[in-house]
Amino acid sequence: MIRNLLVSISIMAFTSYSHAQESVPNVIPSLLNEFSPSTLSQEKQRKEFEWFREAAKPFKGKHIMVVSETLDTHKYESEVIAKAFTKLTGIHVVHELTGEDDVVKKIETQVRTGIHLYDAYINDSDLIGWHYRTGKVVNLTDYMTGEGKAVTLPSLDLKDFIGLSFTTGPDGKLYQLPDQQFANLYWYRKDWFDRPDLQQKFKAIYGYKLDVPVNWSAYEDIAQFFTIHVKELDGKKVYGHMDYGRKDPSLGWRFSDAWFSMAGAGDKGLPNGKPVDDWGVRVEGCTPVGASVERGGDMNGAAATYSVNKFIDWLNKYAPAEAKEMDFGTAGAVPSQGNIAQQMFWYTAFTAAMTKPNLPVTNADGTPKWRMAPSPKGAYWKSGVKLGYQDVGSWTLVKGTPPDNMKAAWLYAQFTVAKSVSLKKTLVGLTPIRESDINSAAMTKAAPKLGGLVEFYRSPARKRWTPTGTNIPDYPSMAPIWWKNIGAAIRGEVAVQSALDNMAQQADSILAQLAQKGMSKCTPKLNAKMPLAYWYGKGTAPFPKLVNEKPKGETQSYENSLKY
Amino acid sequence: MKTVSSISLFMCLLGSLPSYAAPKTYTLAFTANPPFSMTDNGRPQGIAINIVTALFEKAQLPYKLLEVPLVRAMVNAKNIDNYCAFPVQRAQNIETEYQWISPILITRSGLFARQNFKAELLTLSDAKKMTIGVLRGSGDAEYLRSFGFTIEEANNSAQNIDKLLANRFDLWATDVLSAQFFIKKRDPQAKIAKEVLTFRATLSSLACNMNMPKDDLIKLQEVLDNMIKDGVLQKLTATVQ
Repeated sequence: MIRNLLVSISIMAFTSYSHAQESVPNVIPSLLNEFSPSTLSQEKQRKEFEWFREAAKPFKGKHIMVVSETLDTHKYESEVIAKAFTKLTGIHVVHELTGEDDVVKKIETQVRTGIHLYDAYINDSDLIGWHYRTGKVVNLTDYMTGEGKAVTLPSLDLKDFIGLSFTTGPDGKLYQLPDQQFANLYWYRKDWFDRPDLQQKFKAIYGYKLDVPVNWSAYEDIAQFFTIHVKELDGKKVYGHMDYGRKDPSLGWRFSDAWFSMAGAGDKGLPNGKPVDDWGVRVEGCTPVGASVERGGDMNGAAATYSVNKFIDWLNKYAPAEAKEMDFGTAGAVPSQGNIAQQMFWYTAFTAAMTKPNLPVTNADGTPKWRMAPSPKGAYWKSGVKLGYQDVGSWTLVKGTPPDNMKAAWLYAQFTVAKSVSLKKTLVGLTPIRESDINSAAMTKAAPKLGGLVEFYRSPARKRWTPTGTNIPDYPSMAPIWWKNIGAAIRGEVAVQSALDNMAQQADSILAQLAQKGMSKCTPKLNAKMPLAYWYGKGTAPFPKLVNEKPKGETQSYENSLKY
Repeated sequence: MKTVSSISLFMCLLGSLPSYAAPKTYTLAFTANPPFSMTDNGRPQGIAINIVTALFEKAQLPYKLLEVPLVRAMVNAKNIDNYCAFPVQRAQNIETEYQWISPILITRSGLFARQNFKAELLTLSDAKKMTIGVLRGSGDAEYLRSFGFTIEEANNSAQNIDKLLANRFDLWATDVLSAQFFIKKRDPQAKIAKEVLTFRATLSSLACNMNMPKDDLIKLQEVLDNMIKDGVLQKLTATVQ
């Protein structure tokens, strides 16, 4: 009864929306025109559209509300795809755009309180461990063959989705349907790196070639080179590094999005290290057993400490001064302004914004002056450890949503990822989800202007960029400890080691609380505290501090870097 | 500044307690924002007032209510111990500055138009070429500004309904409850304006000083969760409909 509590009490009390559905002769040609190119023939596209129209008939006139973070892909969905869906089906969709943190807060509120806020969420797959364990998110595998069978697109072709393994629970069931994907990669100004004068100067100082860095030592050298030695190019101040350091939730993602594993924390294994993953959480079977090194985790281990020290060092020495007060949103556009030489950790979600004409980083013919490549690896990294992070924003249905609303929302969700629509969406937002789109002729044609995005997604190595996995039992509770503790270290309020010790202790406390409270599946159970020698003796993470955390810098050609 | 104090039952009981140190009284600052919070004949009233006072009563924490402009309430809650502001839209950019008890209210925002409005709005972007009236400093104003909409700000919602009816702008963006309140105030039949598009939902919270004792924070959140489960919030909200 309380589900519709505060929100629905007055909703639509004053509304007088018209039924916006258009007639078949009008709407389908306009949809074929908008969603072009497609990997489907026009005939098959037409059939998919007709299927949606037919399946939606019982829900004609219904209003549904969905929410996602604000990315180019979701903007296209909110402005174009939602409208097309309404015209086709008569189901009115409000596709709200907001900050990622707000999306997490809202789904957490709906799950925690049972209040019906939204009919569907586009929620990062990083929450899969929580979704699976709460038992409050709809198991899509069962839904598609059960209650939702009549509203499940026969040509959805799940096998075509490249991120399905990230949205599948330990029980093999699908809990989320991928809507957009992007990775964090290395970004650099290839035009500057190719300049003979800069090549010569770099080699004279550092003794090796200025090129794509293989390790963090080379990244650091290149950062120092541009900020300290080059200083200005073409009369403009340049920097060898860019990042962001404002103490806010997006700072946490910057770290929980695999930063520790890029440094070499955790163990080998894909999609996440076993027994210790890229958050530094140790897992036995599907049971999280500890985050602190005393309990066999790696959240405050040597590699984690090294990674945060490097982050702070580079931010202070080599990035623009204002970067310290920037966040995910404000920092994203900075490299496109033309004074950044490289960025270790760059979300490819910014590709669309980086390829706009007339930018200082775009050539007159529309090709980019920059390239993306695999991020360099830290001193602790070993072959077999994940290489980076991949964000998979995915459709998520919460139990308790009124059944007809859920069905209508599920139809809209599938419409946004259907083959009829997805290639065009991919070309607009550049966050591919389907193998068929990635391998399409349209993507081949677009590739020269996308700086390596298509090459990355066509490489099987993309599987080594993975999201937070199923180990994290309560993402909404555990995510804030990252920005609160590391944010304090960045501001100098606490030493790095102390910040990470506090963070690991807080993570252990949350695991202990969950253990006490119980979860529907894979409930955490804390290990006893043991001396470090005990864990070091196991041959898995945590590993002891390296004597030399700065091996010789190593670079490689862009072409070689693409071999991953 | 208007000062309105409300003595809770718990505060009265405090007088009979022995020598324990009395808990400090929380200052709960609200802004005149009908129907959520307002002062009528010297008494604080409104949906948010009802909810927050019930919350502190149930948590047995002493409090006083104070009507303060929103900006000052937020600054005070940041700088003064035992000080909270409400209702505040919890947002990423201010997340780090307060301790949050949430959600005390959940509202939906919509675009409202005159009855003779003919254009069909299927998505928010359809309103891009129109001028939208908003409440200055509101979350809706910030939201629409961030997406590049043309907005015109007024100091209170009563001005906005007047401006809408006087053709001073095309649409009025506000939460549905406020719209109902002000439209009905002007026309009990509520025929003068209509909602033409819902565009977002927001969680409103109690934003408290960072030094708030952890025990109080946990207690208030637990009490709030129970109020939601028991349907108390629903009842409190309904009384103002």
